[in-house]
Amino acid sequence: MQAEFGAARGRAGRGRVAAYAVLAALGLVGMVALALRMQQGLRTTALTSSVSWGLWVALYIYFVGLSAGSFLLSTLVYVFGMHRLERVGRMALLSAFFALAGALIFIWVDLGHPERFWEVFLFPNYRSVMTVETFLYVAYLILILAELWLLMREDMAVLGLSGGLRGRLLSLLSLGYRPPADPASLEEERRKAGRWVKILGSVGVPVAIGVHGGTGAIFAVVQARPYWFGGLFPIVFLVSALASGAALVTFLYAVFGERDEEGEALLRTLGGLTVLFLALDLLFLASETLTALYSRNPEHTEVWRAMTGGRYAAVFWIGQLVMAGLAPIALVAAAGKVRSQRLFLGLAGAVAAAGVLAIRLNIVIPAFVRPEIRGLDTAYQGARLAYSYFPSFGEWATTVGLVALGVLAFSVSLEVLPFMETPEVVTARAALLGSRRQEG
Amino acid sequence: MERTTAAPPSKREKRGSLDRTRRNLLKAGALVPAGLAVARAGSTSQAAEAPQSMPALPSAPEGPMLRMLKDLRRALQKPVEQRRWTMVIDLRKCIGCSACTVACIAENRLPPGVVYRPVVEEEVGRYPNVTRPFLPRPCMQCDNPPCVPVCPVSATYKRPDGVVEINYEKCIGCRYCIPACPYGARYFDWGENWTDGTPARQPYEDEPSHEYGRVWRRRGRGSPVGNVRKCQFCLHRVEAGMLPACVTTCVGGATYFGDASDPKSLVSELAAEERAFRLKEELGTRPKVIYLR
Amino acid sequence: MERETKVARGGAGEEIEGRREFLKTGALLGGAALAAGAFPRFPRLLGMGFPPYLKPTHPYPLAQPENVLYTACLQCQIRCLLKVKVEDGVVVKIDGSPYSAKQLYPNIPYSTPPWEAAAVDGKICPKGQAGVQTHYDPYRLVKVLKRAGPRGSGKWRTVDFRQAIREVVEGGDLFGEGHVPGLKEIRALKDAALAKEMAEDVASLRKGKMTVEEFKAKHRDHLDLLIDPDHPDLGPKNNQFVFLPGRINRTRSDFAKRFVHGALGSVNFFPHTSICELAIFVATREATLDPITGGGVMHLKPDHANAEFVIFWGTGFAEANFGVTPMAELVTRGLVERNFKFAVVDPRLSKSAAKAWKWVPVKPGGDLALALGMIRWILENGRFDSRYLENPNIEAAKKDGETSHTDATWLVRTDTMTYLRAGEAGLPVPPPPPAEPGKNPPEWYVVMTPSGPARYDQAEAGLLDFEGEVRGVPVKTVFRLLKEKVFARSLEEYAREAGVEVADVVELAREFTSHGKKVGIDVYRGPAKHPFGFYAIHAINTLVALVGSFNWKGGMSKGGGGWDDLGGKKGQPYPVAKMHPGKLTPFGVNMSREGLKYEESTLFKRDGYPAKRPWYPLAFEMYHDVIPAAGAGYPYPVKVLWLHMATPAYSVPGGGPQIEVLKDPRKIPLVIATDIVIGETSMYADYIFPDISYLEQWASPGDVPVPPVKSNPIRQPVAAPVTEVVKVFGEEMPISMEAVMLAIAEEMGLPGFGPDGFGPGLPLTRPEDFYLKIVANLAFGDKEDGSDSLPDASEDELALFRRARRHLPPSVFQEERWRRAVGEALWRKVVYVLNRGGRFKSVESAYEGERLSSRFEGAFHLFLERVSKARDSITGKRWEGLAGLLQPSYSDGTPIRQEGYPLALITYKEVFATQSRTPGVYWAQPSLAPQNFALVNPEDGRALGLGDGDLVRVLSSTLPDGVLDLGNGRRVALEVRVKLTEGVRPGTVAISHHYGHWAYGAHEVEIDGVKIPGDPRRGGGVVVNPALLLDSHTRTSPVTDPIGGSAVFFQTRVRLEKVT
Ligand SMILES: Nc1nc2c(c(=O)[nH]1)N[C@H]1C(S)=C(S)[C@@H](COP(=O)(O)OP(=O)(O)OC[C@H]3O[C@@H](n4cnc5c(=O)[nH]c(N)nc54)[C@H](O)[C@@H]3O)O[C@H]1N2
Ligand SMILES: Nc1nc2c(c(=O)[nH]1)N[C@H]1C(S)=C(S)[C@@H](COP(=O)(O)OP(=O)(O)OC[C@H]3O[C@@H](n4cnc5c(=O)[nH]c(N)nc54)[C@H](O)[C@@H]3O)O[C@H]1N2
Ligand code: SF4
Ligand code: SF4
Ligand code: SF4
Ligand code: SF4
Ligand code: SF4
Ligand SMILES: [Mo]
Repeated sequence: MQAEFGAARGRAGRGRVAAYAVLAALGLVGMVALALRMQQGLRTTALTSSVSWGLWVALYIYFVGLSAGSFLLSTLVYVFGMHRLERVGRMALLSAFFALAGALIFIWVDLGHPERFWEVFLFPNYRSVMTVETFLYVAYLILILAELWLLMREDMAVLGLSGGLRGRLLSLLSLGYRPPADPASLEEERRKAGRWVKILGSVGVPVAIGVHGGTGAIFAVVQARPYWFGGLFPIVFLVSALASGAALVTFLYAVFGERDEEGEALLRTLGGLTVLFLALDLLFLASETLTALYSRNPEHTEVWRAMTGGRYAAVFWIGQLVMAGLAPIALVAAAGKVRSQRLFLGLAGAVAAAGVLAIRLNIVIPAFVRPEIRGLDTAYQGARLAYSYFPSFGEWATTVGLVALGVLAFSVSLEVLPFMETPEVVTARAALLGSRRQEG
Repeated sequence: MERTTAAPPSKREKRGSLDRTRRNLLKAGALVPAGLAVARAGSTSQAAEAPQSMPALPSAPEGPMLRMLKDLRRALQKPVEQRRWTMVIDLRKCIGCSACTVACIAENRLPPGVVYRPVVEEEVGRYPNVTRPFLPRPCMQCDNPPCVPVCPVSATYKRPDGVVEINYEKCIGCRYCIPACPYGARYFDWGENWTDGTPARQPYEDEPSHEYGRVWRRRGRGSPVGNVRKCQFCLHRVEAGMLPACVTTCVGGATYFGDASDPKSLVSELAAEERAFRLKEELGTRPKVIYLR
Repeated sequence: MERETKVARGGAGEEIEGRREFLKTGALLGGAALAAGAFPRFPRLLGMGFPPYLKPTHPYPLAQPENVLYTACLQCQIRCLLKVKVEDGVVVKIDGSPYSAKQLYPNIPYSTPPWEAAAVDGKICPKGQAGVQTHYDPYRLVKVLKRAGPRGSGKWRTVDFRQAIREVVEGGDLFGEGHVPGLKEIRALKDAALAKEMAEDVASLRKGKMTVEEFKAKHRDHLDLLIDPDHPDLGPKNNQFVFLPGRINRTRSDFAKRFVHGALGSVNFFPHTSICELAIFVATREATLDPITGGGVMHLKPDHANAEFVIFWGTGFAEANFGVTPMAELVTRGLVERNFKFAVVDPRLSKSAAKAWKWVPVKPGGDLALALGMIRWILENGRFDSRYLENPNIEAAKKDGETSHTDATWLVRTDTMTYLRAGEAGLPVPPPPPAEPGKNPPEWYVVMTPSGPARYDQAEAGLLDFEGEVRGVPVKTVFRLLKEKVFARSLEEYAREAGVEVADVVELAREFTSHGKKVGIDVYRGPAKHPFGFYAIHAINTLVALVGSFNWKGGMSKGGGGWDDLGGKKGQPYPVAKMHPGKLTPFGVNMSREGLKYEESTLFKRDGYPAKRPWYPLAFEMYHDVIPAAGAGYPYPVKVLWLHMATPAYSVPGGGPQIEVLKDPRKIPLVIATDIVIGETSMYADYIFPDISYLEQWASPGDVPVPPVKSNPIRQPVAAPVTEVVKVFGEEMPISMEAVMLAIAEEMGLPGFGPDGFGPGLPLTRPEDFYLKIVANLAFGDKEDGSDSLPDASEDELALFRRARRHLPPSVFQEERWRRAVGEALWRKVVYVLNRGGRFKSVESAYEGERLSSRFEGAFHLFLERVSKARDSITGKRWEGLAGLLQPSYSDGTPIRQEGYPLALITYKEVFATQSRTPGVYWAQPSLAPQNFALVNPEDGRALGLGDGDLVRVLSSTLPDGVLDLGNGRRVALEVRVKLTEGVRPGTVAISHHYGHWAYGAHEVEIDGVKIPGDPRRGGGVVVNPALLLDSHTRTSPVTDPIGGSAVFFQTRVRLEKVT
């Protein structure tokens, strides 16, 4: 299918096919791991009753963050009129969509009884942040889809006329929308759509903040975990969400974006935003670490000690500090001084986006390493009672597979849907307008 | 392989338990001499709440155990919302033997990774002035339980009698309630068994748990596998007129149980002692497990 | 609930199918259940919803009397009374029985019908709670195994039970390694009359009333039956069969003795008491010796429930001893609800010490010095009860309100160091009564009164502190001797030797003498397992005698006792031991040289001093030097060894030499074992016969002395058998120790077993024939006229009895067959007992006013005459009748030095584990502590460079490289992690027992070519026994207390070497 589209668009690079094949293969492995997990339950994970959340929950909040970050970035265009970013708007929205879908899949596979997920809708407990979040996720998902549709309906409809598999799919997705032929009405339609997009985006801003800040609140309300508990936590969540979103879009734009003057400028702006958010994040980290360590209260200090000195020290030093901090900042700083700015900024985006995963891991796991009552870790022992955790092969495989499938789906979407002002879109639009005009 | 080293269940008589228990119950009813006839807990409205037959109690010299049993039977006469199940643990009497830990596991058929009542030990002091305090940790059945509001589907909630319950049929296994409990009292059922990796699974692992007066067979991924589990004050025993397993087997005689709303009960007396305190009271959880220091 | 109901209703076939599938692939069943589990939830989706809270929908089956059976625990030695709960025919839960005061204090009346007891559960300890996993252990043996490789190779094949029996009986080239003698060959002496005669002649020989030549002449036709005609006192060849039952229980041991002594005619039967508490038994028995019967009380325990002050000495109430389960609550209630106080003397801060008024971290082995120091202070300060001590006899004592007395006033001749006898003092002596078998004539001791010497039984009081001459014989009172003995050293010296402050000694002694008769000392293995453990125990017992708290409520008790269930009392229905036609009289020297004077043996005449290996005239049930002695062929070689519930390779100090002998078929040609798993020692057997677990066994194991309530537990089958069902004497039964003995008896036609085993027409063809007779005796009671007998079980009880056994197959339970074993008249009484798991008195009955009901009413001997008269078989020197300060030494008297090993090693038992037996009890040992630790004081940690969590190897002079060679190519390194703790005396390292398994399911074995992997959970931690000290004289057996006969555990020094 990809090949067909690829061929149709005349951009069928061998590398791309290979990349798709690799993604598909990884996806397949992941599906096998997932099937095993579904069949055997969570025993295929390395989670314990003490470290009850692990890689998947970290990925869940990571993708929620990514999604919210991307979405907020898109609102800069559609709500706040930063037209400089116009070109990445749709892509940001699409990544917001896929990231959220990924997040939901990760939290779903993490359920002990995934087949009962629907209970959240039938028997919701509104006192649970998790419930509220679930509803927000749904609302947010609808919002993104609506925005995307409004933004793309015209192009989809236009390209839908070109026939073929893709054409049929696109016309299906356009939900029967037919752009008016006369430019005035078209402009009017476009204006209306723009307004709706702006309205939706405006609604989306608090929703996205709610989605991610709220996801932070899932943790922040837990008084039993001093490491999580507190008002600052959702804010930290948001900032790192923005950082990851900006980083992702930077990366995406570096890869897929237009390679013109404007594009370069845009990329610089994105890089700057990423650095800004990362720096803020570091500031929060420093503030949290220092106050926690200063307290000398073992409830706080032990978590930090485990994080910075324990088995997973690399996640903190390399992942959180270097990848989600110093490295991208340095890369962005250096980008201005080199010729291959695009490479540097793209790399910065990629490294930072990946590094934020370390932040996420360090939000979830260290909170579990300290026994709730001193000595509880040795009172009764067993593999599933340990206060330590390292993801199992099954968890890794499932994760890699799901991410691979997500990337695959995202890439295919990028190819199939009209995201950028490609010449193809322009011609198609022109052709359409032309024919209509002739008819008229 | 299993022929030589395993315990084959082949000789074992195997029948449907529910079926047979019912049948036998009827038989027992027929056989138990008149006068001992099965007492029903609760009179009219509550009859449905405790449909269990309760054997009469022996006329015995009254130690704390029989006293508590009588307290308990008295409480069962009251409507459920008037009972306030409470546990008192006298730390001066606790010898850190962990009999309660294991009794609870056996009683509730807990799998690896689930332990409702570990006993925590510390070392305090310098040689030779050292001591080793022990602290058994059941679920505190908090009156203001932080594990409850977080549950997205209200699968865990406070019952009218104050016990914090988990409906395994409803729980989706999100494990949010685990970090929410400040006492580490919640565990996840990973679907593992004690004999995993040995020559043969053993018959006791196929027998159901009777938690909440239901039948929970751990098979495949069916509940309670995939659920969060925790101490429930042995309601299935309590409602059958018996004391929780950790209470009856407490080797140090340190654990007491009863209805705190009954001023005549032993737990009410003990809870009023000056030595009484609760764990992490500062969190506002208001535990119904009271320790005596 | 539909779903559960459906599952539960599934037929038998369905479930067993399911399990088999599971065995094949874990995946399949899980897959099926996913679908099954998901579907029935859809009705919820359609709006059924969930109830606001869960109400019971199902009766609790374990509250039903028909699902409850009563028996006695054997997870450890306390024999707690159990309520075993059965569901779907499976034992699912074990609780304590409220009928026993050990489980519920106070206990419910014995007459309570079982249906009223159903709702009342009593307490049991963690290992008792986890008993289900001992019974349903995936590594349990089901069929007979025969080795399929060299001994210890771990390769086995299953063999038919009958064939195995035949091979063991007939012998032959069983392993392709040459001829192996069978039992037939060993049972040379078969004639009961001849055996009796020879036994008598050997007795004469020992007493010097017959010479070897005379014996040989008299028995010249039968000399071929003897091991060595030149040493007839070694006994018949039958003795080359040795039975080594470690933890065998009372009555199971009577069954086995019937087989070993009575049927096979061997003297060699050794339970594990010498590695257990033997020195305590010997010392206490010697101090309470009844000169007429030659017996005494084996141990004395405080009446914890009523005492004001107790010293727990080398033991506690919260870990091991005579039971955490019965003891702990008595102490904790005292602590919180009474003015009870206690001290703990232990180098380690035990769980008991953690709660103590005072923890005295004595130096390991410093107990004797500490006790002597306390005695000295008490004597010096007049804090003893002189009124009590002045009583020379029981009548005088009773006038003082006492029920015991001591020998403090009795006179001892200082020339011979024996009691002065009335005859020697010129006092009139009554004529001896007519001789009775098993009874010695009475002895007449002498006391000094203000009016001169008097026979002890005729004086009201004697002088306590006296020295003088009687008819020219120099004499001193025992009290004076004691005083001189302890005053030989200063209080400071004692304190130094004990490793404590003088103030500690004084404080302990003062407190001990501040509570009148409401004091006691609870002593167990800590002070006993030393080269002079005997004297340490005697000194500690002496402390009690100085305050005279014996038999007082709150004082020292000999325990509540039980009934004579073996039928020894007149009028009892079944005197089982006597009902043994054709019974052989075993005779000869036993392999451990116990209970015999070396000087009376022909080997003494041959070898003189030192004996090749020590002899132990006062000890019994000596376990640890049987296999090494067999290896040395002293006193004679062994041909067949039967290990039953025994694991000397693991549990004996310095087990290496045990393994060396066991692995070598030339040393012992045939080794068989009865075991429930392939254990650390049974792995060296040629055949392993599966035994039934304690939930399938029979026994009347007797009871512990705490609390002092009269009690007689009955262990009975409560679980369906796991072992293969075989046919013996035409009857079906699961393979067990009894089944093996019965089958051998059938194969060999041994007397005392079979259709006429108990006498004409009285069969002993299945275990119940034996054990139910014991239950019948118990039900009948001790009174000849039957007035002590129990009521008949009612119809209802009888019906319940049957119903509760509905899960037991006919190979175990056949009511008709059981009834026949006891007879119609007693059957209902037997049911009455079995419905309650034994016979029990109430707590109330344990007291008569301020006194205990069960009393030791004899003389407590401060001076031990029998000891004083005996000689050491190695040094040839006489022992001392009173305890004085001693330095630890090997059997030849050379002092024990272990230079280069800085830490004194002690071991202890964990409350959740038992000996070697609980590594597979997953709910407890492997989960409560997956491994043990080397507990080291931080001070030593600093000095030796050891940190928390360091992995170290335990090195000692026995095992300088810290590696045990299993002799099968496997070597076990004694490695363990360090835990720094303030709770251990500096200079001492404490490592708990129970861990470091190299078999028992912890390691791979191969059966019928199939490799069965071990379970790593069972192999955690270390066992230090292989590193413990060996005797410099025998070199192959542990250092041993020469008098108490007990193996030494707490005298080894070690170095902990970091493993990098
Ligand atoms: N370091 C150290 N060593 C010690 C001790 C200590 O505290 N520290 N304790 C000592 C004491 S007090 C004792 S009493 C001894 C005990 O020493 P032993 O009597 O030698 O050992 P046990 O652990 O009682 O069990 C012996 C074996 O019996 C088998 N077995 C278990 N259950 C059954 C059964 O139901 N039937 C049969 N036929 N076999 C069974 C198992 O193979 C087990 O290994 O150990 C002593 N050894
Ligand atoms: N949990 C549990 N209970 C048991 C058993 C079991 O296996 N597990 N086994 C039962 C059996 S068979 C027996 S024999 C009893 C034994 O019961 P105990 O004698 O109470 O138990 P042990 O651990 O053998 O005893 C050793 C104790 O003495 C201390 N100790 C060591 N060296 C010295 C010393 O030199 N001086 C002094 N004063 N103390 C010292 C140790 O720290 C330890 O506390 O327990 C019985 N009860
Ligand atoms: S102790 Fe924990 S699980 Fe129990 S009620 Fe309180 S918060 Fe909930
Ligand atoms: S695991 Fe179950 S009980 Fe706990 S919060 Fe999730 S759904 Fe509720
Ligand atoms: S009350 Fe029951 S469930 Fe709770 S700890 Fe005790 S035994 Fe376990
Ligand atoms: S059973 Fe009783 S004494 Fe033992 S640990 Fe539990 S609470 Fe403490
Ligand atoms: S103390 Fe020993 S006999 Fe008693 S329950 Fe525990 S293991 Fe069984
Ligand atoms: Mo023992």
